[in-house]
Amino acid sequence: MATLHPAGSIARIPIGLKLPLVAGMLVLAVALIMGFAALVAVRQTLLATAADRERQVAELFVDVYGGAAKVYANQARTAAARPALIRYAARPDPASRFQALDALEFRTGSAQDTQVVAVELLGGAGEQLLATGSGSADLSRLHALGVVPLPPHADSGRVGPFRVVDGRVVYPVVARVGDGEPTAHVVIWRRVTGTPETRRRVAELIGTGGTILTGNTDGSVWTDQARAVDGPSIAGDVRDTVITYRRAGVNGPMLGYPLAIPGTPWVLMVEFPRATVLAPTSAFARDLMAVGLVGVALSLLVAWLLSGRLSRPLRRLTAAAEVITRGGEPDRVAFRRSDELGVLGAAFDTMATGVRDSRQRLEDEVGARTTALNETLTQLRDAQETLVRREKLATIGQLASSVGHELRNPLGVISNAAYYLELVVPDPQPEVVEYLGIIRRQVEISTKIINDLLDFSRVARADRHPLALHALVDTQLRDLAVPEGITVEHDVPDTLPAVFADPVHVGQVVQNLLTNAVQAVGPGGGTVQIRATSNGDGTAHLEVRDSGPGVDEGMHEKIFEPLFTTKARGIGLGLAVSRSLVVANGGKLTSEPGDGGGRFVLTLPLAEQGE
Amino acid sequence: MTRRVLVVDDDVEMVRTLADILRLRGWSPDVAYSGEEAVAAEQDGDYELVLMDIKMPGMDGVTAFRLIRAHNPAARVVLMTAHTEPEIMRAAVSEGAVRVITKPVDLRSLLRLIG
Repeated sequence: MATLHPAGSIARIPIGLKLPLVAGMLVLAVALIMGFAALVAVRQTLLATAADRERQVAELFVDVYGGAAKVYANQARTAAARPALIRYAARPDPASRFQALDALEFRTGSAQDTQVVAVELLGGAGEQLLATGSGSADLSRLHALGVVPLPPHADSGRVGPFRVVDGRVVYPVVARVGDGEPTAHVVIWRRVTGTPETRRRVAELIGTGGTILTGNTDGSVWTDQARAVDGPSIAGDVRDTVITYRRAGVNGPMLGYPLAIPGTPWVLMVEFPRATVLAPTSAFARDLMAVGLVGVALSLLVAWLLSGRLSRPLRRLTAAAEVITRGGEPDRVAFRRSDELGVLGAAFDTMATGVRDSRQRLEDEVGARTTALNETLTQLRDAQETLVRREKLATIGQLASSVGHELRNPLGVISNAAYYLELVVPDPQPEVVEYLGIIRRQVEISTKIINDLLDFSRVARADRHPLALHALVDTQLRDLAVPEGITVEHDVPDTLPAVFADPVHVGQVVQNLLTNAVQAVGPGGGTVQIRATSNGDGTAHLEVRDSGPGVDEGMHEKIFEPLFTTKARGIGLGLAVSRSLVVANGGKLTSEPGDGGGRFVLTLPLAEQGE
Repeated sequence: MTRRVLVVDDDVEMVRTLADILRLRGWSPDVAYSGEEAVAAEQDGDYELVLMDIKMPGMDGVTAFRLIRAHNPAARVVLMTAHTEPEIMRAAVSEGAVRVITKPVDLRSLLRLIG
């Protein structure tokens, strides 16, 4: 985790937490949107239903009220048609006053009808000619409010707008009296009263909470059939639609359906508190919220479980990857699932195996390369040493070549001179013979050194012929100076197949091996053996043994290196030259462990093999 | 009958010692110190053997050997050299030299060879 660099704070939240959060929020958002939409739909449905019911009820009551208004208007017309009233209105005669009053009182029903507050007869100028009824005491006030006179030849009877007097709502029913001009009127003042029966029926129709209001079309007076109430300001603009309003005396907004009552200046309105209409919405919202909360909780739970199934494998992968990073070997992830995570786990395991194998291969390769490098370094060092030695040898060779050639002449003269003395001195003293021998031997040693040097500084080119080893060894033994005390055993059969080699080279090599053997045995005496065999592998083996101290273990190869010598005298080129000559002839020359002494084996190809 | 031998070398002491030894062994040596002298001497005398160094100032031994052989195909010539190049030695032998011997001369072998 430490290797991750989150871009923001959201990236720091673990997937195990993030997923449930996101899922929860999504579910919550969906629930909210759907809930809101459902609520809106429910509200609209409720409001539409309420409006529908209000309209139906309003239409019903408009008919009732309209009917009542007609009945009252007819009643007023009937009263106004009484002859006694017509006569009195035309000529208010105190003698006919009683008859007129009687007509006014009884023909209008004011005596029986408790709704009738007062009845009056108005003259053409609007002056009160007669008045009667239980509310006659207040007539002066009623009259003072004025009644809009009916226009000439208009409907002879109709109801007027509501008025409020002492908290009571009253309305006039007016009818023309006769046809005279100016026109007199009968005015019947009626009180608005809702009976308990009426209220019960209304409640049955529209339910509790519903109210029926009536008022003037200009919105000036409203009544609930019992008293004057506050109402909406409709200002005469009554449309066939639901209106929302607030009014004093009730809490919250009201929904009302105003409907004009034909033939009257009245409006009837069925109203419900909006809260009552929308009450089911709250319950619905409550249910919806409960369901939504349960849904969110469930989705959170499911998302948490799912994210656990998702993030646990990821954590395992992370841990395994960290193990690999530290160079360790993680357990196999191996999710038991076949979805993308299962595939990822399998791929990860394959990768881990690959990484392990690669690492192993890399280590092996590094090991191998290191070994190879070390070998190369060793070879390089050897090659460098060889090169240095060769360079040294080349320099020595050039020097030796010129010096050697120049030394051969004086050596020759010395040798000649000594030989001459040996010939000419008659009966020489023993010391003279001995000293002449010393001169001769030292000249031979010098010659040998010079020859080795010159041979080594020259590239050997073999002129190979079939060669009988038997004859060659015989010749070399004849020329070999063998000191006293040394026995040379010769076992080279003349039946040995011919080898294929340069006679000069092989002669030189054999001479060198024999000389070395004799020197190895030394003045103490001993034996030198030379024998040859051919064991049928296409080569002949010439073996030279001596009874000297032998070659030290581990020095068998070293002695073939140029400039290596164990002798007090000599420059260590004899065996190196011999080996290079043998190699130039397709053979090999080795030093082998002997029975205490030196043992050199010269191997050469047979003639029938070589040709 | 004296056996006549011509000893040729630019080294005076070499000529002296060889001639003395050969005289002791019954030969009658004449001497020369260059290739030119050797060729001239050989034309005058009747030598059984010419013992001649190869490397000399002026005419070298191999050239002198060829001139002698051209004049006297039967001449027996032994060449001596301080060098051991096998090519020169083989070439000389193939052209009729009795032997090419390396210095210092092994007198016993030489005397055995020439008898």
